[in-house]
Amino acid sequence: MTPRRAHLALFLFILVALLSLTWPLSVCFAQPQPLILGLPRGLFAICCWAAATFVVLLVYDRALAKSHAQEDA
Amino acid sequence: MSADQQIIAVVGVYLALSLFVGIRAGKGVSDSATGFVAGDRAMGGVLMYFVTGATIFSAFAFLGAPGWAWSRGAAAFHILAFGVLGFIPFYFIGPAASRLGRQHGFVTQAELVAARLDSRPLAVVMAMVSLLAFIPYLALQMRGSGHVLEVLTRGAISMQWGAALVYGVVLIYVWRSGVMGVGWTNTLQGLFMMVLAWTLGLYLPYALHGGVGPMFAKIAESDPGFLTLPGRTADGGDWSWSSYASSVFVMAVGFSFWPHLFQKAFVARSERVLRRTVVLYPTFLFFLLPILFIGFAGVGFDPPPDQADQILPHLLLHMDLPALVVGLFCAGALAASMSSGDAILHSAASIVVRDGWIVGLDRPLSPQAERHWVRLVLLPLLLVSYLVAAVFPVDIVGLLSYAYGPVGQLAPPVLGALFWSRATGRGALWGLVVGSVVTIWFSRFPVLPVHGGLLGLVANVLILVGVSLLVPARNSEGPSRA
Repeated sequence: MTPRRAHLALFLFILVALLSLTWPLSVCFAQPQPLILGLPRGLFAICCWAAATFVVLLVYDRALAKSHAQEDA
Repeated sequence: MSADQQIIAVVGVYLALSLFVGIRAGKGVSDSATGFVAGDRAMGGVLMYFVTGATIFSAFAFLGAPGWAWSRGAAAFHILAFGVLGFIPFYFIGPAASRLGRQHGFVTQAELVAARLDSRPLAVVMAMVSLLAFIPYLALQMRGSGHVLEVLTRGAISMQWGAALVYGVVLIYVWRSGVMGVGWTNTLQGLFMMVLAWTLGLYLPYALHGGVGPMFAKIAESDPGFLTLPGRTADGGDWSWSSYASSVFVMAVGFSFWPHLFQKAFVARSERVLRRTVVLYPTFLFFLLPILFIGFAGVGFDPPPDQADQILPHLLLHMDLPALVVGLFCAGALAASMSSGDAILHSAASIVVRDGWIVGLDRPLSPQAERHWVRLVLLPLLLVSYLVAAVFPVDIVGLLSYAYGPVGQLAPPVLGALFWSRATGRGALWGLVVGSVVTIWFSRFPVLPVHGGLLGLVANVLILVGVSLLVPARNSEGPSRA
């Protein structure tokens, strides 16, 4: 992945995550039931976003590090 | 030995251990201001992870968050939500600030911004805004630690004496070891809190409801609105989506710009360590999840606590748990309070001396004299925060939410200084002043159902951009772009 694509992908991820964690996308998870893995849907959605943020940042960081290594070489 | 004595003994052992670790941490660090404030810029990945993680694991996490879950239901989810995105900006601003810090010797946020925008008054105003947020935040940590000791010793140690005892220990190790004392004690406290959070977060729902799933199912059945976003207000009404969303937004924006967190950019060993810390940060949020379980476990518990913030110690006291377990929890809550309070105290003192005195008033000090003054300033700061904690009866999350308002106002000048070549000192200064006034005014006298910090941010950005475009571009002799 080129740095430009990585930046764009991260920007889009942050935008969607922000709308999902605030408004209006969080309305989709407003009702607690049905519970997912024992959690209200709103809480489960936030946990999913936390896990997704970790994975996306990890991929983004690796993509940039790889790109910088190639530039240095 | 009575139960109260056992609890006090466990707390005593914990405080002694923190003191030992905190004092030992100062060995090997230079006796300069850079050593005391920035740890000689040599902090590694593990310490950075716990130092930054401890920022969210404060008294508000162990007391305020369960209190909100118990009293306001789904509204408590916002405490987890703002942390998801809040630290991402640091992936970019952290390494940029670190680079400039090494090149020019910066150790505080305001010092960097003021130098980049060539404006001494900006350093003073940023220092004042930082203190405006720090004092209530530190008061919150003291209040939390005092609360825990008071409730769990059944009044044998009052809130005031409890806070004084705990923060006396903090004062000693911060005085002795500076930021390295903060770093090593945060590591000890962070590990301790993680274990306790999951232990209690799984045990209490199991003991009171048969598990986490049955607990939420029971609440959803008896009061479906309680778990429906955006949750309830303090008086039991429906919280509006605009208030919920703007609170998440303002707190996420403010997150990376807390001066004590931002300062860690100058502490890290390398830019790589900083980036890895941000990447790993969301994993810390999973230790907040069981904290919310604890609050929900208390729904329907009889008798209810007098104040929402006391739900966790209240549950522990009324469940006939062994005194050792109660004492361990007590120590865990104190760890949460201390791990944030020490970083804030240390940062606030360095800001007063470096930004207020050296940069703002242009009174240079030798590295040893600077360290000496930073240490001396710890005392009055602690005293003022203690008085705020003792006098103002505000709930813990409310106090935190207020503190995020002024902190969010630091974002536009920092981003402008680092990434916008047309930003000027005058634009940043007036944006910050007006943004802070608007934030405080609308937090005190709300006219719209949104967080006051959001209105402040809008005013701040408009003025920063408008004034910067109207006045001549700044002289580019200052530190180069990041």
